Amino acid sequence: MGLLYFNFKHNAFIYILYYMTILSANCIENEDVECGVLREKFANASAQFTLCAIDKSRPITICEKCVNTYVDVLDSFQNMSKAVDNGTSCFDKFVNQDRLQIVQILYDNSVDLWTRAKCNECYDSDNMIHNLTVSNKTLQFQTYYEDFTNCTSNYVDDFCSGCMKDYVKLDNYYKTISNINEKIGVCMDIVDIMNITWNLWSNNCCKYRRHNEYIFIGSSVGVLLFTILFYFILLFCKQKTAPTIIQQSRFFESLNIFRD
Amino acid sequence: MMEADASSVKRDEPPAKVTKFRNVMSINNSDSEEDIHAIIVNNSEDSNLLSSVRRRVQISSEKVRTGSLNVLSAKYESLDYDTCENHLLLDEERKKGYKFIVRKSISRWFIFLLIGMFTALIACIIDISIEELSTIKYASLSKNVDKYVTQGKLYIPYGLWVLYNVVPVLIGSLLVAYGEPIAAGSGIPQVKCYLNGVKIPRVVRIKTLVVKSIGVICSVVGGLAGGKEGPMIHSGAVVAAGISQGKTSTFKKDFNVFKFFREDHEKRDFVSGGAAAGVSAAFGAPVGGVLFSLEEGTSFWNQSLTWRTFFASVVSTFTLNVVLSAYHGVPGNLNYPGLLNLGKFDGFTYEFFELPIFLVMGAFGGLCGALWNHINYKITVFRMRYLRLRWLKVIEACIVAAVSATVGFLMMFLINDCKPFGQDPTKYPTQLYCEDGQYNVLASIWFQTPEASVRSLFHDPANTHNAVSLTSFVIIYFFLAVWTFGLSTSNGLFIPTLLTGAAWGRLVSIGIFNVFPNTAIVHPGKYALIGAAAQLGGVVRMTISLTVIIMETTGNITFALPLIITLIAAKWTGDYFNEGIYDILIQLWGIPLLPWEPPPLVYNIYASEVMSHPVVTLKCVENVGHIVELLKLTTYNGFPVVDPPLTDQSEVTTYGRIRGLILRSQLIVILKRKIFNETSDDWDNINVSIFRNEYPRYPTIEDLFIADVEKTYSIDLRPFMNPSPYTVLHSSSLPRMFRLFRGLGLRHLPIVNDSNEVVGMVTRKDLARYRIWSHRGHIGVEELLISKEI
Repeated sequence: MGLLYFNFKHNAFIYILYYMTILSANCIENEDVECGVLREKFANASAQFTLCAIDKSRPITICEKCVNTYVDVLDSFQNMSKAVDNGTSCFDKFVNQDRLQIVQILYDNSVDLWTRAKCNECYDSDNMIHNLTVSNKTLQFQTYYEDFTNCTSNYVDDFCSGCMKDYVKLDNYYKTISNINEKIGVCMDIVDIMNITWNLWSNNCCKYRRHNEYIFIGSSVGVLLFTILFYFILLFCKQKTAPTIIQQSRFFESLNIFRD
Repeated sequence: MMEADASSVKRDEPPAKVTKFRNVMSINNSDSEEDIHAIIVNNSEDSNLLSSVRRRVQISSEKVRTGSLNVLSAKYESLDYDTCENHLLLDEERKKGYKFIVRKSISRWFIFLLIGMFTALIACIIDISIEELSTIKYASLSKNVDKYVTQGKLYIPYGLWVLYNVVPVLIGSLLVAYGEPIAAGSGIPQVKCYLNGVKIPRVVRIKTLVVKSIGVICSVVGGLAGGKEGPMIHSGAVVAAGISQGKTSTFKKDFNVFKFFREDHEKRDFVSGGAAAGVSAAFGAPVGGVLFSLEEGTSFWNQSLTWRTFFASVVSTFTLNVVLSAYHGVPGNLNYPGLLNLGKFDGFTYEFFELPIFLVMGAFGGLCGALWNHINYKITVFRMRYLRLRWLKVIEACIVAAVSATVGFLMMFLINDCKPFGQDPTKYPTQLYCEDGQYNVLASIWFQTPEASVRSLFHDPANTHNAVSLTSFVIIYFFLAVWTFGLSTSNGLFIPTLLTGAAWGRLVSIGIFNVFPNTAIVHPGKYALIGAAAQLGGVVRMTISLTVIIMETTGNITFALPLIITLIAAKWTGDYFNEGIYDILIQLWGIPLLPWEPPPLVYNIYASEVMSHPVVTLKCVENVGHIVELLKLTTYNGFPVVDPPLTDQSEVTTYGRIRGLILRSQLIVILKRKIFNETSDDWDNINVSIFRNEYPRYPTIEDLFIADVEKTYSIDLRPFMNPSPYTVLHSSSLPRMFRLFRGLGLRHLPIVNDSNEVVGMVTRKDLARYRIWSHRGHIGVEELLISKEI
């Protein structure tokens, strides 16, 4: 009995499998060639961008170096989403068919990476993907940075005093463009360059911030002493006279008065 | 036996009494020799027992030191919550019908709407001013610190900071000390007393509101360790009291609207709505506001009042929302429900093993809170004793402001806790001695309003603060907050307490993280929240409303159980040592507040013991000169109206049979209007509104001019008196009277004997005198003393 049941099940399984194969074969046959090409293009662009991003992750130069591959990703995705074939769009076939949505997720990933790095801030973009030109701010920053690196490479050991001017210029310029209080900052490339520069500078040159703050320490101790003195003097002030208690008139008392 | 009794009564000399009006003992009563003897014998039999239970400290002299918790002040009067149903009122009632009732109900709702809106608008003004001024202040400070640190001239930004602190605080404390001293502090205890039925002079005046609002802006901008939440509650109460009356005594302007609300009873209901609207505006917690009103204040509560109060609260938070979202540039995006925005927590979870941790944290919070209260109590007593001159108070406030700046700067200067910026939002990153690209963590805590600091402690990612800076911050801020509360500036304690608690809560999370490095569940914000709740619960000892307020401000409902556990632990631990800070202050001020329940162990105390005995009574038709003299000589506010006693023999005490009760204010109005029997031809329209028009500030008897000839006239008191006052028999127990008093909001309770003759009078102070004490496993009831000079 058990064996029979197994056989039946087994047969049914093979049967279903068979039909599925036929169905999927039909699908592949029906698929247009153009959609496949577009899909492959997107796959390549996406792979190139990922490769580039990982490659340029330290030090971060993703905005500068991966911009072309990123544009490719956007392009190929847009081409694919626009392409219509036999009345149905390619997009529906790859994206809207299932809940996994591999293509969409990988695309979103790339865009997300790009926006989180605030790379658009490095470029003058007027919302046209193809017109990404490096912004003046970035170019200016790069010149300042080059000045600074040139300067440091000229000195062998102590560049601190020599390159102070360039460093301050770079630092100030960064502060004007970064605007830390606001949400939108500068692109990650510049932030990273600046972080490296700060590190370099702080490790080598930040020995001049501390001074002998005698006046400050003296005055703050003075304030604290004055406070103690104030309360001490108060102790000699006239104290509030103690409150006098009012005698309550009660029933029992009146009895006593009455009896007196 | 008699001697023992006399000594226990401890009477050095007979007190000054108005002997002329004293009731003498009735001859037709059974107060015979034996009866008197029996009472006294009964009392003196267990006098030893009584003295040990009744009073812990025998006070030998008639003087106590200032700052005692066991003295009631004689200067506080009760509010008249009991409607006086005299003939005039009944006449008025007869003329009114459906229309009047509908109009009154609609106006009531309309007033609650206005209360919510105006409270929120005041909150907006306060909030926006504080934010704008603080932005200027802290941006300038941060910039100057970084400018002068490289030059070694840190004293310049330090001096600037002291200046920025002292100048606003000077303005604020001058206003408070010279303008309206009642506006000092948070205002919650005052509102609580008002809602309990004690008339605190000047607490709901418009002048108080103005001083309070400007004062709170000044003190928060001045960098004191204080917040604006308590003052907001007070402001809400003032707004409610003002709007509902339709007139202002300060500007002598009567809008002639809402006249039917001009009595203590109606005003009280509006004030409870206003307090709720204030909480709601302060925390963005409408439900919390309603519950606050229920828990802290309103002793008289019903379903429709709750509903209207809730309405006012929601209107208040909505209005605030609309205005603040417009101010922040996103009109219509209703995302600013309260002044204190603790920010939404993205759903953290808790597990079973964390509940004991919360319990321990709660207990620790209770301990800290008790310590906080004790230190603040000592400081307040010191201030009451030595710091009484106004200019000294102003100087003290300025000193605290200067020291706040000093301590803050010293902490930044000494503790070089640096973090790279860009990871978490700091408004004014200050570098100080940090490396380039980093900011000083302590500077970022100090260079913002305390409220913003609370928010960053709740939401900053882990590892933002290191243990050393947090520890020093907790200790310093704890003492700073204790020292600041009670200054002559208007600021509350919610924010500094939350800040202290949040800081040590974060310390706990760091500790747990070091012990169990792998626990992913250690969310520093969660522990900061629990710490903040524990600390605040330990100081103010609120339970329901605090839980709901914190739940609403953080938008986290699932966290109710941990919060409740924490707050219960905090309250119980704290209550073991002392009372909540508001109750301590109320006791220090000697305000006769009636708690929810009568003290235990007092069933054996009878009305005959509690009452004031020789009652000053009036006859139904009374001589004008007699009334004037009476009002001048006594300070009493209610006089039983009695039938004249049967005999006039002066050597026997007789009592009059009660006919009604008349209030001092009514007598004053009658005298002012000259409603004498002899001048009845000149009376103009007498109805109940003559009393309403004078409300709430009646002239004193000294302000009235009564000609000599008028003093021979007489007044018929019967149409004006309350013909059916609540009375109790002299044999009723203290808890019974207490419940009657508390439940109905009475002001006077005449005590009658079995033939309905007035033998005594019980007022609020007579009941509030009995207070429970417990110490080291002993418990008892003590009788408080009463003094005029507190």
